[in-house]
Order: sequence, then C-alpha cells, then structure tokens
Amino acid sequence: MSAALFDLALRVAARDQGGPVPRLLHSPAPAREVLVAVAARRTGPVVHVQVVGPDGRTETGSGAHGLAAIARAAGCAGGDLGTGATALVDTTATLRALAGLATAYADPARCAGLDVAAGSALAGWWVERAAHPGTSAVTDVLAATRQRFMLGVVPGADHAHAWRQALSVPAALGGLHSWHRAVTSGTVLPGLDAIREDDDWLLEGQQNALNDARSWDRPESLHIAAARLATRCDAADLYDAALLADPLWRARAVHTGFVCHGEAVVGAGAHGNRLTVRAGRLDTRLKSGTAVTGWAGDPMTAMPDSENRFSGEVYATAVEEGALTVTIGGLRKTGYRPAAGETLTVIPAPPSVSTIRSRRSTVARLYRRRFSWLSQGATPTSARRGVPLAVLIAAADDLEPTED
Amino acid sequence: MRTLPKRFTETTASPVTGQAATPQPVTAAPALPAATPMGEYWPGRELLDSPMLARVLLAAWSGDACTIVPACPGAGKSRLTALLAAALAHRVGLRVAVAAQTREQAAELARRITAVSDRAALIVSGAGKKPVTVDGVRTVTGRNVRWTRACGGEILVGTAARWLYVDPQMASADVLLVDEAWQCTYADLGALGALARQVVCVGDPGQVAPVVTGSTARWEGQATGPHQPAPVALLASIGDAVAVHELTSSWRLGPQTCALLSEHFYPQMPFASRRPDEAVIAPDGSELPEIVSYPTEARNGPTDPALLAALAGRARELTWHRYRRGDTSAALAAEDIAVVVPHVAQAGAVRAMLADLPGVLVGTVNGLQGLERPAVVALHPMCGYRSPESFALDAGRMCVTLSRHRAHLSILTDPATMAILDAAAAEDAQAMQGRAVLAAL
Repeated sequence: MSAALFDLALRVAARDQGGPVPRLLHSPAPAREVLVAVAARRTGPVVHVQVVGPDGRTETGSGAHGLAAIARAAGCAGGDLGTGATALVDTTATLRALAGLATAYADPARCAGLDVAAGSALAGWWVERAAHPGTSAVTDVLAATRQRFMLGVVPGADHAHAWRQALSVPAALGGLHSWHRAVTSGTVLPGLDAIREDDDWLLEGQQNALNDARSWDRPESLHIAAARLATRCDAADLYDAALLADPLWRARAVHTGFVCHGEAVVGAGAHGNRLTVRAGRLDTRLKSGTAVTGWAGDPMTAMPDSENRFSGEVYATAVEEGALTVTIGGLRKTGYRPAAGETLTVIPAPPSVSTIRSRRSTVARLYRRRFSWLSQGATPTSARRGVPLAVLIAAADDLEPTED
Repeated sequence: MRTLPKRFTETTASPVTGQAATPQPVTAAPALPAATPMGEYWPGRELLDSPMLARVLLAAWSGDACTIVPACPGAGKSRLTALLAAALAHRVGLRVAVAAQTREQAAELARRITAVSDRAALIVSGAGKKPVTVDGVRTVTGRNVRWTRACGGEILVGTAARWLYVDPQMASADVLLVDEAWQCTYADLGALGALARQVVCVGDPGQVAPVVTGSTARWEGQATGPHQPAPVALLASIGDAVAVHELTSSWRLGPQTCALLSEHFYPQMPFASRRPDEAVIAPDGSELPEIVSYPTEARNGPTDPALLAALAGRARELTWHRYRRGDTSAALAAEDIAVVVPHVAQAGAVRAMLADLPGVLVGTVNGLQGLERPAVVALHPMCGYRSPESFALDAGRMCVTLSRHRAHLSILTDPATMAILDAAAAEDAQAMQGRAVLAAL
C-alpha cells in the first residue's frame, strides 16, 4: 500500500461515516492563552482588517486603524504584548496582507498611537512565526483541520466551506474560535516546546523594540537571513518528528518509509552492540548514518518513555531474501535493549534540541567573525601570491588533452 | 576583551587591487615555501596538463578571493578538488580546508586526496583524542582539529556541517575548497567563510538544489536568499569579484547525451564529450544508442507495478549485453548497471524485484548524485502522474536522471506525460522545459 492509498481509505471511511475521520490523535496546533480570529484583505493599496477577540467583540479598521483594531482585540493596545495572542486565520492571504501593513508601521515613530505600534509588532510576530510549523503564534485553522482529520470528499474538495459544514461551524469570522476548539481538542503533539521557546524569544524581541520605541523590522543581513532559515528548518524538522509521536500518523508513515516495522533477528548484545531488524517492507527511508529510536510493539503502540526505548544509528541496510534488514549500532548500554524475536517499531530519532541550540550559537559565532567578507556581505579583495611561469603558461594554453 | 589570533598580523600578502573591504585574515603561509622546481613532480602537478584545470590552479594559487568552478556532469570535479588541494598544500604551502556535503563524499574525497598527498586528514565525529588511520586515511576528531605543521602545507577534509563546529581560532585555513558547492546553501557558506578568506567553489550547476526543509517563501525570487545554492548567490551578490572557470569537457557522457543536456540544462555553459569510445552491445551484436526511450503505460500512479516491473525487466535484459571500451569488451555485469528512480518507494520495490542481482545499484536521484555506471535504467520523474508536479518537473532531478550513465541509458516514459505537459506549458516554465526534454528523448 502507498500513502496515497492509505489516504484514499480514510476518505472512503469518512464518506461512509458521513463525517470527518481522524488522522491524528493529538492536536497539531498549539496555542497561547489569548486567541484572536483575524481576516485581512488588500484592496489596492489599502489593507482592511477584521478581528474577533476572545470576548467575541469584532474590531475592524483599514491601514493603521486595522493594526489598532488588532491591538484592541488582543488586549495589547497599551503596548504590553503580554504572552502574545494566537492569530486564528483560515487563509494564508490574511498573513500576506498583514505582512506589508505591519512592516509599514514597524517604526513607532511612524505610528499615530501606541495601539498602532503594538498592533504592528504583534502582526509582525505572527507573520514571521507563521513560517514555522508547530508555532503557537498563528494557527491556520483550515490547514490544521486537514492535518488532523480527513473528509469524505475527493482530494481538493475539502475547502473551508466544506469543513465548516462538517464541523457545524458558523460562517462568520467569529466562527474561527469554535472551529479552532473543534480541531484542537485533546493534548497537543509532544516535542513542540522548542518551537514555543522560539515564539517567546521573538515576541520578547518585538516587545523590547516596542518599549524602546524603535523599529522591530531590522535590515536583513546574510547572518539574519541564515538564522531565519535555520529556525524555519528546525521547526519543520521538529514538527515532522512530533507527528511521528502520534500513533495514527505512524500508521500512515509506514507507507511513506519513515516508520520501519519488523522483527528483531539479532538482539542487542548478541553480536557486538548491534541490533538487526528484518522488515517486510523495503521502501524505508532509514539509511546508513540515520539516528533512530524504537520500541517493542507495532507502529500503533504508544511510544514509551526514553527509558523504554532503544536509540542508536543505522549501521547498514540491505535486502536479503526479499526482506529488508536494518542493522542498528551504537545502542545504549542501559535501558531497554531488544531481544531477538521481538516485534519492533523503528523511527528516525527526533532532532536534539540541545544540538539545535548548540549549532545556532556556533553559527552565530562564525558569522560574527569580522574578517570574513562572506559573512559580512562585503566585496572581497584578493591577496596576491607569486605564481610560477609554468602555471601561467599552462593556463594560457588553448588545447585540451585527449584521452590516450 | 577580544583577543586577536597570534598570527593575525603575520600576513605578508598584500592586496593588489581595490581597497581592503575587510581586515586581513590569519594566513598560514606568509611566504612561498622553498620552491620546488616546476619540472619536478609535486602532488597535483597533473592540473597543468589541462588548460581548464590549470586556470583553476592559477586562480587559487594567485590568490583570487572567490573562485567558482561550474562543471558539467563527468567533468572530473572530485579529481580537480583532490589535485587542487594537494597542489595548494604541497607546492604553495597553504593550509587547505576541504568541505564536502555528505559524509560519504568527505570520505571519498579524503581517500582521493590521500592517494596523492601524505598531508591530509579527515575530520570525523567522536571523542577520541588520538588520530587513527582508517583505510589509509588519517582521521582527526572534531574537537581536536588542529593544523599539525607549523609551516603550513596541510589539508583537512570534512563535511560542511562538521566544519561549522571547528574553532576558527585553532583551524582557520588559507583557502576553503567547497566540493559539490551547488549543494551548499548560501547561509552555510556564509558561516564557513569565517574559516578562510579565500574560497573555491566546485560543483555542477545542473544538480538538484540543496535540501532545505523549512519554508523559503520569505526569499522567493531573491537570487541572494540564504536557501540558494552558494555559487548562485555569490554571483548575484558580488559577481564582479568572482573568478569563474568552467569545466566544459565531460569524460563520462557521450556526444548524444552531452548535446541533449547542453541544450536543455546548460544553455549558458554548453559542454562536449571527451569520453573515449565506448558502447553497450546487444546480444545480436548491434550497438545500443546512448539514450533509448521506452514508453510504458502507468495507470496506477508512480508506483504502478507495471512501471516497476518494466524497470527491473530492462535491468535484467541489460545483463545479457556486453560493454565495449575501445577495442576491448566484456560482459555487462550487474555491477555495471544502475536503476535511477525519483521516489524512495520505487527504489525499494525495484530493489526487491532485483534481489537476485545484488550488484545492480538501485537508488533515488538524490541518492545517486555523483555516481555513474556504464549502463543505467531510469524512470522519467513524471511517470504515473496525471498533473504537472513541481517535484517531478525539477530541472535538477531530470538532469541527474539523464546523466548517470557512461554508455547507455534506457529511460521509461509515460505516454500520458506529453499531453499533461502540453496543457501546462503555457503557464508553467518547468512544464515547458519538461516537455522540450521529453520530446528530445
């Protein structure tokens, strides 16, 4: 079976049931305490904003007034962004419209009031963090719903209206609040804490800029661009790993090759510190060098705590007699060590948050090296060395050799 | 308080032109070492045998701050990198840092450099302090990376990711050679720039772009975005200060393949075949053309068993053929054949079907970049799709698919693809290019 057929089976099940069927047991969209539903659209040069706060009141405005409306709905019109409000949107067009508007009023000196500056800082935070899967700053409710549930319609037909109907959500913007509640019930995917910490870090930066009455929109050097790209990639990797912590998603991931499931034919300790798993499916994405973790049981078995999981690195993969064998080395000497004959589930190890942090600080240190024309974005100058005449002559030649 | 490196002021190199935009870096070789007569052998001297390669050596030797070497498939990039590193270390006396993009590539480069130089070491992970030698390659662990020769003339090889963790105070180099540079993002090269003031980027501009897992929408349309291949971004940002030396001779591909790829994937850098005469010979004695297209119907998506069986069947048929190089020929062995597919699932299935031929190399386009085999069976990336998919129409993916073979490529195409690309070509540049390539197959 392929992932496409797996999804088709879910669609058929949803059609037969007459309602959405889950793809995830966990909620894929963490949120903060305060939530505001936001819609923005651009008409020519003007951006119109409509916001519904947690109290159900609707605030509207255009241009700077739209930013003030955001601040009022989020409760930060006085300049205190607090713990940040999560923006609920149902289309990425809203964020595209907000991006230009927020940047235009990034400098408090250009704002008529503190509420506009606060709305700009908050919207700027949303726009930047929206590019990070698993963020708590913004929830694209439609995307989160598609991630968590499957509707019994043909691919592409599960548009916002169909979901609102299926979930009995009111059509107005305020309905995003109840829609959000419907799709985020239950516990949030584990492993997204680091993304939330990044949300907090950026929010603190926005708040500091607001407090200091300076623009939160800095010119983007290569260093800043590289840092932004790194946080995006880290968030995407952490989010993908978090999805594999969900048993329903793991059942699907068997068909994408991210989950390997089979029998231990050589147990840990029997042959060096290596474990060999024999799997029926050959389309694994695990390859030599991949860090993995695993546990006893099938993919739907709840992932145990780290003490009851094994961790290591794929040493080799091979196809033997029509089956895939995955040899895993570097196993921990303590904790769970699988024995031959056990049924195991193996997945890529989630990214190490400490490694992510360490890499970021290392890269930041390298970028701060002032002599580097590359990191500083300067045009380099050449420091010449003398070159022997023979090299000059060889380089000036026109005739390429032919193979003997 | 900041402390300047001890050697910070020891440089004797002086800028020839322009004003110093940045302070001078640490240099390991303040002066040329005792000159070796040019007539004598020195590691890397083979570069002088080819004007193209000699120009790259001249640029690096003379001190060009940024040299970019776009190379066509089969141009001998790894050989150039190995010889250039050796020449700069042994003959010029420089400290040379070599950055590869994967561990496999780093290990392979270290092997090739070690074959011509006894002053190279491979940076590996691990906590051990004592350097060990593995397969003839001296290794050094990440935390203990140091230059061991006080007078310079040394080479350290590592992955770009590994180099990021090397303390530039302890192991800054005179020149950084970036292998497969089109696989390195501008963001990563920016950080690596702290290691050396001189950079040489070698790579194939036609390959699959660097894998970036995060969203790059913020930099859409920006040639200097951090996600761009480093050479592309460098040319866009400081193009006037970059020396570009193209390698336009392919020692792997035959004339038909060179013409096809030049026209569709390297219009700015047409290249020619310098491959010696070779061919795959059919059982009836006829020579197979370099590229043969096999239309194969797919009704059940990209993993349609009909497609996969056809791939495996064609690979099996090729084992009945012979492989001629010049005047000598031998049976085409399983080890001489590769199967290239776009998706992991397809590779797994074909591998299973060819389990009785374990020598056949089966892999995805990404996995087989940089590798070659005398004969290749490939699946056109659009096979099984009924709408134009960005992944399948990626020019780099198609180019790699069409450039892994030396003598013969059997490529399976889907008869439905042309109509799909026809319909999309008016609005989609990728589809237009894909249609042109398909028509030429």
